[in-house]
Amino acid sequence: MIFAKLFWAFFKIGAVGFGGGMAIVGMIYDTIRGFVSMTPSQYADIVAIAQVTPGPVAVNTATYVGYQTAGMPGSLVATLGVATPAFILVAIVASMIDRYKQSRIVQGALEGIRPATVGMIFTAALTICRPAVEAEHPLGGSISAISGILPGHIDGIAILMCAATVLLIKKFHVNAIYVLLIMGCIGAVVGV
Amino acid sequence: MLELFITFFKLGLFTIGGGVAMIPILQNIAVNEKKWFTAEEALDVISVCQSLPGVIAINMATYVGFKRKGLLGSLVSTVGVVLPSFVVIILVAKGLSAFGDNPYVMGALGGLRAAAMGLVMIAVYSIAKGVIKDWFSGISSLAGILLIEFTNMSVVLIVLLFLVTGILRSLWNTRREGVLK
Repeated sequence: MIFAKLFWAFFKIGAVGFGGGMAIVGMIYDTIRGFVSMTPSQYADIVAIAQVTPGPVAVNTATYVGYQTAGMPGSLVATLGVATPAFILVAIVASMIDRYKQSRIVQGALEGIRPATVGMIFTAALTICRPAVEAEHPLGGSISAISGILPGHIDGIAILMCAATVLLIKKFHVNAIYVLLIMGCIGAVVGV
Repeated sequence: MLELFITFFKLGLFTIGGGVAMIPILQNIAVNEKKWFTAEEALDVISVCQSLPGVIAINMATYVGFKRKGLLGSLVSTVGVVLPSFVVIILVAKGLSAFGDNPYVMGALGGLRAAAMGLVMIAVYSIAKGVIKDWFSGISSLAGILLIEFTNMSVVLIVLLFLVTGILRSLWNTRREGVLK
């Protein structure tokens, strides 16, 4: 039955997917070839959409592929599939950490992975920054190119808006969600 | 419980580009606004969620939900964080991808991506600040970055390496204290 296959396929992905959304996306492509006939370029389109819509890339891709395979129920099943292993694992780990909080081993483990987190978040940050800066449809791209300061394919306005975001949030303590809305509006205006 | 759902619904709605962008927003809400955690506890939550397989956004939702309201809470928060993206993707799939050529939408998305870039930088800075407190944590953080970025070593292995090192170090320190006493 297609739903069971869909669920299991995405369950496996959700269980093993490590290192951030983009690594998972590659795994998804290998898996889904069994379900949907899709060219790499079509898949790339889906991934592009998954990146600019709210939510993690991996989940969005799962939802979309599930929909293409088996409609609404398919998208539900695929999404549940990819989310469930994390859910189970995290729930177990969270309850264990709570119970054994005092243990030297747990504390040592927690202290040990903190530096690793810096590296992992740094890497994830790069994967987000790169497409935003080397945008295909850069905001005001012609402006930064004309000004001759930056090479044409680097989105100068995006960099400015990024800097503005950091300033607004850190220095002026504006609520991040408002900043996002502001930047979205600015982007809509500038991008035209 | 409703508060939990709404909080993570908002987080799921406004996290674009990558789960890491959620971190500063979550930190602000959980530590500053609602005082659910101390900054230290939040750091541990983030570390654990990043070190486990799966999408960090979901991991964080599940973890925080669990700490707040147990198993049911983790379910509520996870559903909350996934729901907005689910709805949007279905709309897109059903053919509202006519949106895709609308210049206003493309522009707005570009703006959101730029903002997400800023958020992500804030995340890196805040995590680094929270983690690096002495030369040891500084060097191990650097080592982590180098290992992840420049070697082919699997991330799982790297995390395990750090985990085991941390445990060994903690046991070693307790031993030393025992001897000194």
